[in-house]
Amino acid sequence: MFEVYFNDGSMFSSGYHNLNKFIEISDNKLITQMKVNIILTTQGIVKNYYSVKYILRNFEKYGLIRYYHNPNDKFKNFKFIRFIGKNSFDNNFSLLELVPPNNIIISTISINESLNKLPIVWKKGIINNKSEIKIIRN
Amino acid sequence: MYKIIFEDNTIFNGGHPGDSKWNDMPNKKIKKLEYNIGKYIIVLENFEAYNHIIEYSYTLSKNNSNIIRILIIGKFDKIFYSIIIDIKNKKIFLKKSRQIEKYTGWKMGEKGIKPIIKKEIINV
Repeated sequence: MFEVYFNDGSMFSSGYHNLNKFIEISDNKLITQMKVNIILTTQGIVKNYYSVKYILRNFEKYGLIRYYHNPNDKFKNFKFIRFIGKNSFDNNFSLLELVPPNNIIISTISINESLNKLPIVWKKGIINNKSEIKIIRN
Repeated sequence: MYKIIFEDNTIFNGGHPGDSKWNDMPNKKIKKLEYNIGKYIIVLENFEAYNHIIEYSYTLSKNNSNIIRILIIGKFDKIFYSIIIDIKNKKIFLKKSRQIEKYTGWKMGEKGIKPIIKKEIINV
């Protein structure tokens, strides 16, 4: 799930596991930060669930892309999901990439790579400080 | 890094900041939490719930992450007592509040009459 916080103090939540809500984020508001909550399992014999929160903040715009193993599969199993932060003065995309079930990758990729060719839905953000991705975990 | 003493007096030793093992601890009520940081031991006791949070900042230009804050939190009667270890500014302080960020990973504690927080210097 994700939550976005706006510069007018309001927020928007996707609810549990509903990434389609990203498109409903208002285009009339400016995002200050986007929080992504990810449920993971421990590596031991007994599986415990825990969550890690990632915060993308201080980007000019925010995007979301989902890649499916097979788009026609009715279960729509994700190959990976990318939350993206982008600034006009930077040629790179900043990525929070989730690869089910347990891999999370933070990286930057160049604008020349394949991401540029994909139809990303962008939502407007506002920069108050240095762009960063913050990680909150136990 | 930290030591948990449970209500049955068994002990769980936590890991390190890169892998704190907080979510691996047994599901038993916590009697006492002892946290080692530098020359200090921070002790929390009598809380109804405990949490341990590590905040990292990922520097995109350098492709690495650094710990910026560690929070040790005790909840008692709807008040959150957060011991904030500010790594960047080398400060340790207590913040009391009725509302905090929505954290997961809460562990039940053995609630006492009143919350105890101590910061002790380790004698070498």
